[in-house]
Amino acid sequence: MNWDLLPQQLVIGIQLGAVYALIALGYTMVYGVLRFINFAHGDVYMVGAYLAYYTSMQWFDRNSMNPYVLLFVMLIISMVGCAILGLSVERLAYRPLRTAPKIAVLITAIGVSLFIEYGGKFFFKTSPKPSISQDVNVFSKPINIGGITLDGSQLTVLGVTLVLMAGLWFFVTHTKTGRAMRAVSHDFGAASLMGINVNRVVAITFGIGSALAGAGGMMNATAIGTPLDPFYGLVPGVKAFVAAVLGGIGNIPGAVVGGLIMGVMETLIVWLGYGGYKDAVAFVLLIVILLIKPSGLFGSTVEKV
Amino acid sequence: MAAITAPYSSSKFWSVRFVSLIATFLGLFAVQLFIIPQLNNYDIRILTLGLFMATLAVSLNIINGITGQFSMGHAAFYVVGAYAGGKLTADKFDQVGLPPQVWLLIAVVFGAIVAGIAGIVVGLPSLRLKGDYLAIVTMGFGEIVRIFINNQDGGKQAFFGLDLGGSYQLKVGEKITQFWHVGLLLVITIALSRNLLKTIHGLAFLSTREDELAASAVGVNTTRIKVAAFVLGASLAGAAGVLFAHFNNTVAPDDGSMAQSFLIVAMVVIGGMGSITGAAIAGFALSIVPEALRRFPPISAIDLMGIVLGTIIAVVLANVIKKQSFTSSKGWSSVMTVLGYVFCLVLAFAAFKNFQSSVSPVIKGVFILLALFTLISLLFTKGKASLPGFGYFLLLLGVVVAIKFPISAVLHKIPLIEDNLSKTTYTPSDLRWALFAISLIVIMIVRPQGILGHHEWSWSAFGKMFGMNTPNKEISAK
Repeated sequence: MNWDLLPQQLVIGIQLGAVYALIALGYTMVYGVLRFINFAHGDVYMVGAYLAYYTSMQWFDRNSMNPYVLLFVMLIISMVGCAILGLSVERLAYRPLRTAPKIAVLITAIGVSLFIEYGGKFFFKTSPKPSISQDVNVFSKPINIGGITLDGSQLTVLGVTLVLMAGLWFFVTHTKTGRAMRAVSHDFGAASLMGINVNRVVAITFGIGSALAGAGGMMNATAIGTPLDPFYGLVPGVKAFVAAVLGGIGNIPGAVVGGLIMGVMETLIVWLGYGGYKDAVAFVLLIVILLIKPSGLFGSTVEKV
Repeated sequence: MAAITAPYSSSKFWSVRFVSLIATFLGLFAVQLFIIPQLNNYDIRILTLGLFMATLAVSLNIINGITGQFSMGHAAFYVVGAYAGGKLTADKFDQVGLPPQVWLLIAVVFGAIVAGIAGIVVGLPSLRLKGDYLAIVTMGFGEIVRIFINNQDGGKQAFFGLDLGGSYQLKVGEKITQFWHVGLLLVITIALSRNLLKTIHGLAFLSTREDELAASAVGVNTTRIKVAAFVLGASLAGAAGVLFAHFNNTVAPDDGSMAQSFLIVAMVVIGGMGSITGAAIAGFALSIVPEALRRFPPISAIDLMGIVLGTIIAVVLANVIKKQSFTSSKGWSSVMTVLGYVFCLVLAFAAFKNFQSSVSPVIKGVFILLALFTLISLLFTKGKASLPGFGYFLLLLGVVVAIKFPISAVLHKIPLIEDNLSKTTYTPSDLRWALFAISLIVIMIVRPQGILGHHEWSWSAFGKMFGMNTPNKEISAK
C-alpha cells in the first residue's frame, strides 16, 4: 500500500466511475419504464466505442483537425449511432414482447446481446483494436494540482459527463416528454389511460439511454484506453447494472452515485494489490446490497425483490 | 390448468422404471462397445459434447423449469465440479492406484458434493430474491467463481496458495471418461428429474413454481424446496463437470464463462421451461447443429445482404397479407395445408439428401432425428391444424429466395457496395452465433413458452399430424 498514490487513484476511480455512471443511467431509465434488464445495453456501449474509433482513425483526418472539434464530432457520431441502434433494437425485438412473460423478454435481451456481439465480430473483425488515447489528445501536457496529475482526457470525461447529466436532469424534470417519462415509470397502465403515447415514451427512453451509453463508450475508448474488441461491453455493462442497483434502480441521481462508488472501489482494490479480483468486487457488492438493502441507496420502493 | 395427476406409488410403476434403467444402461454399454469404435475422433467428440450440454440443460431445468427459479450461473457449478474432480485426480490418482473407472466414480461423487455445497451457497440468496434479481445474482456468482479460479495460480493473490492453474488451465492428466459414462449420467439426470415429478416431493416443487404463497399455505416448505432444487441441479452439473475434466484432460476458467451459462439457459428456454425432454433435446441439438454449418460453402457478403433484405421484405409482406380478408377463406387454408405437406416432404427430402452425402453417417442420422423432432414438436400443440402455418412459412421462404436474386443483382450495380464488398465472403460456420441469436429472438417472439412449453415430447403428436386421434398417455406435469 502506497499512501502517496491514493489521491491519484481516486481521480482515476472517479474517471472510471463517470463512464459506469453514463451506462448505468441507461439501465436505470429502461428499468424504470419497462421493469426489465436490458442485457444488450453493454453492447450498445461497445458499438459507441467502435464508432469513436472509426471516426477518429478512419473517417476523419485527425492530424489536420482541431482536437476539440474532433472530440465533439466523435461524441456526436457515437451518441447518434447508438441512439439509432437502441431505437431499432427496441422496435424490432422488445416491442413485440411488451405483453410476453418476463423470462421471454430476458432471453430476448440475451439474444440481442449475442447478436450485437457476434454481428460486431463481422463489422469490426475479431482482432482487438489498439487504444486511441494517445492519438486523440486535447492537452499536450498534464496539469499538476497539489500532487495530483490531471491529464486532458480525465478532464474531458468529467466535463462531458457533467454536461450530459445536467442535460438529462433538465430533460426529465423540466420538459413535457420528461414528465411523460416519469409518469410511465410510475404506472405504465395508468399513464397510457391518461393519453400518454407509451410506445413513444419507451422509444425515447431507449434512444436517450443508448445515446448515453454511446457517449460512455466513446469516452472509455478515448480517455481510458482499453483495447477494443466485440466483447468489450459485457463486463462494464454488468458492472454498470450493479451501479444502478446500488444507487436504487429507477433513480437517476442514484445511478450516478452508484457508478462513481463502483469506479472508486475498483481502483482501490487494484491499489490494495488485489488487481486480479477487481471484476469480482462488483458482484460481491451486488449480492450484499440485494440481501441487505434491496432498494439501493436512494431507492424508495421495495417492489422488485 | 389441468388437474395435476396423482403421484405414482404402485410397485409395478417402480419396477418398470428399474427395468428400463437397466436396459438403458446395457444399451449404452452396447453403443460404447460396437458403435463408438466405428466413428472417428471428431464425431465422438461432437456427440459426447452434445451429451454434456444435454445433461447441463436437464439439470438446469430442475432449478429453472420445475421449481420456477431463475438461475443464470449454471456453468459455474459445472466448472466447480470440474475443478474439484480434476484437482483430486491431478493430485491423488497416481498415489492411490485404483482402477481408472472406479476412480472416476469417486471423483464424480466428490465433484458432485462440492458443487452441491456451491448450490447451497447460491440457493440461500434465492430465498429472498425473485425473477430478474435472482438471475443477476446467480450470474454474478458465476462470474465470482470464474474470477476466483482465474486467480488461484499458487501465487501472491491466491487463497492459501491454492494452485488451480490460474487463468491458464488445470491439467488433469487422465483421460478416463468415455462416451457411455456421459450417456449414463444423462440418463440418470433425466430419470431423477422425471421420477421426481411422479412423487409427492415433485408436486411440492411444481407448486412452488406455480404459486409460492399458496404452496406455503398448504404446508409446503418452499424454503427447503428451493434450496433442494439448487443443490440437486448443482450437483448433477458438478458431476457432468468432473466427467468433462476427465474427457477433455484440461479445464479452463472460461469453461464456466457467462456465455456458457447463457447458452445453457437458452437451451432450457428453447426446449420449453419445465419440459425434461425439451431441455435434453434442445441441449443436444444446439450443440450439434452448429457443426452442420461447417459443411456449407462460404457465402458472399452481397448475397448475404440480399437474403437479409429479402427476409425483411417477406416479413413486411406477411404482415400485409395477414390483414387481407381472403386469408380467412376456406380455399386459402386448404392451399396452405397442401403447401404444409409439401414443406414436410421438402424437409424429409433435404434430410435424406444430407444423409446420402459423404460425411459421417452417424452425425447425419442425428440430424435427421433432430429435424423429425422439431417437426413433431411444432405439430405437438395443434396437430394437423399447424400445417397451414408450415405452408405459409414455405410460401414466405419462396418469396425470400425469389427476391434475393434481383436484390443481389441491383447491389452488384451500386459501385460503392460492389467495390467494397464484392470480394468479402463469410463462412456460415462463423455466422453460427449470430444465427443462434436471431433464432433465439424469433423463437421468443413467436413462441415465448419454448418449443414444447410445459409438455413432454411423445410419439402421439406424430399420429395427430395424420389425423389419428391417439390418446395422450404421457403424464404431463401440468
